[in-house]
Amino acid sequence: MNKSYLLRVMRLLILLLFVGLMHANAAINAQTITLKGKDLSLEIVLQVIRQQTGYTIFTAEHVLRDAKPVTIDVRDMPVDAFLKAILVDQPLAVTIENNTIIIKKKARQRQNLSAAMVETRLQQREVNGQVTDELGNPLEGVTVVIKGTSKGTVTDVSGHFRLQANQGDILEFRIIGFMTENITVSESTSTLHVALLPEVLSLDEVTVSVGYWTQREADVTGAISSMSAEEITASGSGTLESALVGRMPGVIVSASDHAPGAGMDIRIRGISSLNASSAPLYVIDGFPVEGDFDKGRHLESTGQSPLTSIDPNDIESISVLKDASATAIYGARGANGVVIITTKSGKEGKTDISLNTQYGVQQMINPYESQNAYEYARYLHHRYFPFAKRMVAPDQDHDHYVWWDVEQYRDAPSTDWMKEITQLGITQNHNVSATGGSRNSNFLASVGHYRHRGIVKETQFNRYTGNLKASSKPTNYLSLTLNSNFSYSENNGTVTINSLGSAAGAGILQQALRASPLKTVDDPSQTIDDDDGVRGNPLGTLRDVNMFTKNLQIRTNASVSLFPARGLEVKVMGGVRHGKRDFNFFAPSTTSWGYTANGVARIRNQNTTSWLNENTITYDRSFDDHTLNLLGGVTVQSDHNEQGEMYATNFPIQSMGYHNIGVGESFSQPYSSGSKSLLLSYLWRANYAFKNRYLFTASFRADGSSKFAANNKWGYFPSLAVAWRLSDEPFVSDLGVFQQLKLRAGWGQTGNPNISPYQSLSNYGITKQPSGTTLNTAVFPLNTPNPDLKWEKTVQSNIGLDMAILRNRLTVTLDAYLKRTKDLLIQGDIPPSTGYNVYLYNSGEIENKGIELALNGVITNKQLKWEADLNFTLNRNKVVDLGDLATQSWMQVPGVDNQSTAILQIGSPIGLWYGYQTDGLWSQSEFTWDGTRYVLAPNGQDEEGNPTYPAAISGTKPGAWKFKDLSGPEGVPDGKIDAYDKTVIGISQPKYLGGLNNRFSFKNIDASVFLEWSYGKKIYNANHRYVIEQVSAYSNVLRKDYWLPIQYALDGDGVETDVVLDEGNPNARYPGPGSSDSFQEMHDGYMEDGSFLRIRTVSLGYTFNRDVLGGLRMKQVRCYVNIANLWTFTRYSGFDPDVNAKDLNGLRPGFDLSSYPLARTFMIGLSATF
Amino acid sequence: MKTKSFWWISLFAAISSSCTNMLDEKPLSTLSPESLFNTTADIESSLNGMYRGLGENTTSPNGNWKVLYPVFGWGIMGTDELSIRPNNTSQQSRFSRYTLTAGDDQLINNWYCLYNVINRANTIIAYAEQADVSPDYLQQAIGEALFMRAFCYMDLVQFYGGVPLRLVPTENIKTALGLPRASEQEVWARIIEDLTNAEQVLPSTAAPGRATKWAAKGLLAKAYLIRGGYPVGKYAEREWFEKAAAKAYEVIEGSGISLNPTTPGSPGAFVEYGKQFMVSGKNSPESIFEIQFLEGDFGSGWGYRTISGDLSQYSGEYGSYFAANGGTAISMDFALSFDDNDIRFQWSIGPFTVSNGLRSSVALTQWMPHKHRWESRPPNSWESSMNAIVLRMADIYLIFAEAYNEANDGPSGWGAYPIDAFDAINVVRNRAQVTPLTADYLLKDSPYATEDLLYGISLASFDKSNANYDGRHVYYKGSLKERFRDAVLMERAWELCFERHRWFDLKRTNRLLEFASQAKMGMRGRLASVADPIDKSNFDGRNQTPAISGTAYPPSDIRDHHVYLPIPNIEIQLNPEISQADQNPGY
Repeated sequence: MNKSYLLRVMRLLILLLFVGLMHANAAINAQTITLKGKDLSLEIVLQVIRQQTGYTIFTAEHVLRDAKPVTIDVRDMPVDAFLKAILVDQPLAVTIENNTIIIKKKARQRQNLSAAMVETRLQQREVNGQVTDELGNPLEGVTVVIKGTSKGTVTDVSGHFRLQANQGDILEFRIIGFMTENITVSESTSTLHVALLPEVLSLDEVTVSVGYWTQREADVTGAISSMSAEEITASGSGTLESALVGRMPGVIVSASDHAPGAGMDIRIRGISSLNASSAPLYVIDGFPVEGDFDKGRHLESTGQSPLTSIDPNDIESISVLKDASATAIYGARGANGVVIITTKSGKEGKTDISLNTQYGVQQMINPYESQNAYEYARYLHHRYFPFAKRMVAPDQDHDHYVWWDVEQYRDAPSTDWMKEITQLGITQNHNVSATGGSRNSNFLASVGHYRHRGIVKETQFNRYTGNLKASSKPTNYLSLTLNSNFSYSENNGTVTINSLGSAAGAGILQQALRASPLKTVDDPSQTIDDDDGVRGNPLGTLRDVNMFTKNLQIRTNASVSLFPARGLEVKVMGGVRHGKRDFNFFAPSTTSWGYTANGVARIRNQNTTSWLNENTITYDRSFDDHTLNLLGGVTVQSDHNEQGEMYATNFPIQSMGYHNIGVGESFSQPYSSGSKSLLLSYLWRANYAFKNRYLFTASFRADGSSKFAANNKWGYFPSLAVAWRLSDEPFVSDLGVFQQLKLRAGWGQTGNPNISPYQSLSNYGITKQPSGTTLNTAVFPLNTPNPDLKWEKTVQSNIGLDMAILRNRLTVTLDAYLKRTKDLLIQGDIPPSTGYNVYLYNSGEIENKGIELALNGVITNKQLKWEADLNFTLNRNKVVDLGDLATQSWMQVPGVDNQSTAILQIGSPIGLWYGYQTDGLWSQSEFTWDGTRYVLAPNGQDEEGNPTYPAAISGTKPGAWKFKDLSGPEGVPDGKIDAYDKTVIGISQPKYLGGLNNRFSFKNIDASVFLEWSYGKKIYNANHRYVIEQVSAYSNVLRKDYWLPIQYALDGDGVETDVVLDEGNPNARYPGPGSSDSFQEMHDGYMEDGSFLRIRTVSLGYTFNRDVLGGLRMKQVRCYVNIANLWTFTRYSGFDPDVNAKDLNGLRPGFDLSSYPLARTFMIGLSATF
Repeated sequence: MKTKSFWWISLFAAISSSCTNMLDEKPLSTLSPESLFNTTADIESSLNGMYRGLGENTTSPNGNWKVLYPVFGWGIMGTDELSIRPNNTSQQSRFSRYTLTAGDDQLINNWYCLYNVINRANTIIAYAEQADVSPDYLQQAIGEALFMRAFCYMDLVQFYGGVPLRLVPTENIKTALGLPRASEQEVWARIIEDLTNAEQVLPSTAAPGRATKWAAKGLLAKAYLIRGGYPVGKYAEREWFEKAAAKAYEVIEGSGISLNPTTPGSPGAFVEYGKQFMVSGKNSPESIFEIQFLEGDFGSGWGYRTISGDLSQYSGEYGSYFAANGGTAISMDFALSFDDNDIRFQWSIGPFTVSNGLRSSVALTQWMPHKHRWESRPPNSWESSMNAIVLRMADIYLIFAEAYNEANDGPSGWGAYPIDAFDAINVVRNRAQVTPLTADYLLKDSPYATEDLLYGISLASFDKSNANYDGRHVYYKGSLKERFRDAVLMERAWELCFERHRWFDLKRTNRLLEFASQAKMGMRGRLASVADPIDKSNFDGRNQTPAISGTAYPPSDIRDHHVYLPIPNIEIQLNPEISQADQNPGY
């Protein structure tokens, strides 16, 4: 114990002696303690009691000298029960008087410190009244003191008090947990009603999970963001990822798609890898799950998102470790940050049963508007009618449209396919949990069901979850925990994101946008527009396709802890995680996807089994001014993945679909593959605090991974961090300004091993080779071995500031970081004459640097409380080096097609769109008619008098995009539009983003408004490429401002005259029908600003008073309404600017093609505890 | 306390020591080099894997197409046979239009895939000896690998000139990254050496798609013939023609392989001829070496689709044509050059569909390549079972005829062989039911006043009312040797069109620039549907002479340097032994 603490104790004691205490009652008020820790010294525990309750504790150092360390894990335990629990078997006796705890040696004779009531009876009048909380519940034990005097009293059970005061006296109402209230006694004062507002919690009281350990937030040295259960459930989200959106600075959660059950991308402090995944490591109840599973965001892809399988109602807390000093304890897997998810645990006490239930309806927002029948007919006619032979040569392939009588469609019935394929969505989430336990053991069990019927018809996601947690401490030296969880989900999906530009292969939304409005919903036949490949109708396709995914995830771990000596814990944890995902797909011949192949079936099964063994020793002691916490451990984790696939086409009988794939008459080779990998790790960490002000953390982890080359199996990951709690320095605390002021600095090294196994070895693949009509086994070399393959290495430095001022009403967390990733796993090009074109090696460098700010402010008055959380993220990402084998300062992002050309460029951020710059549209006046077609007119003469022509792509027409001639082989414009004119046309990473959450409470009513925003990113709206330009014949387009030529009347010979028949639309924003058919390269015509500000959640809740509920035997009931995605302010013209359809490990974010639309959700919910 | 710590530390140490070899890796779904090359089955699989390389999918920016053979009409388009329509600026158009640049994806893919197969062959040549197999089998296996390596280098040397000569498998990137360009002569020397070694050890017969003695000899004959035309512009070295004739004659005499016969005068004769280009007729008796494809995952890909069409227009019928956006255009000169009696015109270009082995009553309306016809729509429209014919007997006869004429300074009178060049070429012509070639036929000069098209064609020759009309349209000039040389070149075009010969033939005979820049491509080749389009005299229905409908345009903007493709940029940039100075001139 330090000096200042003793002084404070003395001061309080004196005050108590003067003021006196009204009751010698232990259970004064609902003061409770929450504490989790192992082998805590009694000093620390008492300090926690003091902090959490404000009780004064009176004891002496010599008294505590013989006390045993305490291991405890309780939540909201009443103070008296808590004291009994910690002092069991201790040679100590405790007495609780009003707000004072006195601890003495047992041996001594117990002294009753009688309550002394001091009343000075002056010539005063009596003031009486009642003190309640904000909901009107009476508060017992509130100290009422006349300021500046020692006169006072304490409220009774019903919150009433009575005392003598002079006019002008200031009455101070004080109780721990509430804010102190001052009321001046006026002439008229006789009866007072005082409502006290709850006090804002200080950082001291929050614990966070830091990996293999939990720490008080006040003692944390690294950059960690956390989110509590209340905040998660308040978001009303059915999936965990969406609950995290915009909540934590530096943690970017973005959607790829809004389909039911689709996962989201989580990126912490930027993209730091080119070929390996940039997804964080997830640690779910101590079980590390590598983040490449988040590839599961696409329903057709192979991964499984670990978060999609979790019910947000089951979450206790989420900690995100961001800087390397925090993540280095996860070593080779820490480079992309670590998300630690802790599910709810059992708690001591009578069994509580909680029910959370919510129901919502969803509507589509921002639908695209397609042309109706008349507009469509007119558009097609304009496309193919030759305009007096001027626009195109007579196109006999499209005679039908050329001579189409458009007017007959003026009042023709028209099908709005977007309307036809969408519906009102429904979300439901129900969770029931029970928790309870005795002092030595407790349990929690919960079941949940989430159901989401999507806004696109025939899409649905169902999830069933179950949790069982139990822990027991049968003796002082042993504790046991069991943690078991299952999640089963079923997803009825449809193809939304699809890379194929052709209408036949496009996702359902593309098909709906492009389908002819002349077709009816009952029309299964192939009509003339089927030439484009849109078979049947989109609604039929949606209905007839069967795309069904089952996903079962089971996770169980158990641990045994031994406490062989004071402060020492030895823990052995073992666990198994098993995931099984079955993807089944059948597209019958009535659908566009199955038409050509006469039915397509695909069955894909994946099994992932991971086992884990963690053996850790922790040692935790305090000696005078020194607090030491040591951790050492050995862990082994093994992953075993298996997958298999069957694919068949040509189904003579289609009624059984994928349930009998053998019916298909053509089939691909069955496919299966497996891989195993193992990670063996040694880890050490030391936390040391001197005087609780100077905090040091050092950690070191050695990871051995089977995935890497024989020469480089082992990687070593050190970290160091220091923090200085200025607020505990007398020169700061004396200022009385800061409740918390802490400076942090950290450095560490982490890795990213997120590649598939066996890549360092020489592998031979197996395929088949036909000979005539038979197939023979064929073997061929797949790659050149890399005997030096190793991890990506990230070195990160972080400085941070934590501050709480204005009695914890304003807290600020500010972090700045510099993160450099070297030895990138690069799939680098090598000279193709080697017989290989790529080679996986370590080289190159990426830098991420940024600033993160989180502000929390609380404004309260007697009735109203307003709490605001603001967070702000700025990340600047830069490719520093593209690797030894790179031949130039930029490279194409691998695996792209013409529709999505992105590049990586040294010195620039990842995610650059690369293509031509548009310069409006070609106008008709820039062309001359040569008798058969339009040719560009000269725009001038050169020195020799020869005509010069504007730069254009070959075959350009009036109404087509015009591109800028930016450069040429000599570095200057060369009069040609070619590859030299391509340039960076958009940066897809946002400049800034953040969130603002406002929570209001007024009496029993609570409300919140949550805003998120993102500024400065560009999106390529590839939808527009198809639905504005009509790249293929017959597809419908959006009702947009597209170019049309001026139409002139014809003379008797069919030659144009100067008489204008139709003004056309020569000043349009978008190109004319079919004018860009043959040019499919990337350009900025559809590059859009993706900045947005979204009202993500608005909620309103009502909590019933306990006295109302008494008869119902309910402890707590809250009902609420919640609106998600109420409004998005954006200039983006697609469904939603938060889109990421073809992300490719973050290298190509912001690509929108046929993605599932965003929905607005209106929800009502109820949560109750019995 | 201390004792306890000791025990825990011991426990940790025990766990750690037992874990260290847990980090060794053994792939579950792929093979390692140690587990390969032990048995006959291993080597067979490796050989299959090598052949597979010719037809493998690549994950190129354009997705699913069989990259190597034939890649986007390479070797076919950009000639007087076939070109791409002018408004098509897609990937597929670039070889045809001579707009390939050193950075082009197709170029990189072609170069890479050839070297990929070479590496597979080199792996077998290097490791087959490890296996416990009979010496004869070992020799044969190495022979197949040598054949395939030579085959790939023949493509490389003709497209790119001198190239890096990789003869050992690539195993260590650090030591094997770069190799300089060898000279064209060095590459040819290696091709000839490999084929010479291969022909000695390969068996006379083998399963379809596997190299035989006759495939090696045939390819060697061709290698000699092409070598005779190198360096480009010289077409003179008699030594090579003598060797080519000798090797081709070995195949003619010894292989027992003959042309698939046709029934003279039969209306179904053209189907008898064309059967070998269909799925049901693949690996026909005439065939010597075909790259094998099988519907589904192992089907042929985009290349054939580009030149041969998409069945979606005429599903369920024989015959297909490529009419999808921006497809191909055929040369009017070439289409009109066929003798009116030539059954090959009806099959390869003629606008007819086929049913039940006869012409269908439905006429197609355009001249388009129809040589590779699909009987039925494959489930995935570009993955058919159609093979790519590399070498067939008609080719060998024409090699012999050409080499004979060059080596002998004339098509007949050389006592070295029991047959002369006329005999050889007429084997091919007789099967096609066209007038046999004789010295008189060749020496006859055009009776028509004008030469309206290439190959000495006069439009008047189509006029049946003209007294000179005899169904022949092509006339030659010069000496008998020169006329015969031109006649073989034309015969090769008629017989082997769309089979990936024309570009190479024109290049080695130094006619590429002339023909490619002068041929007239018809925009649509649209014919009057009323008359029998096989009868060219009725073409266009307006008068008795054909006219080219739509806009005619030359296929390309070919320049001198286009006889070589550029070395891919990526090779120049990444191969430390090759610099920009080594790039082919003009790029």
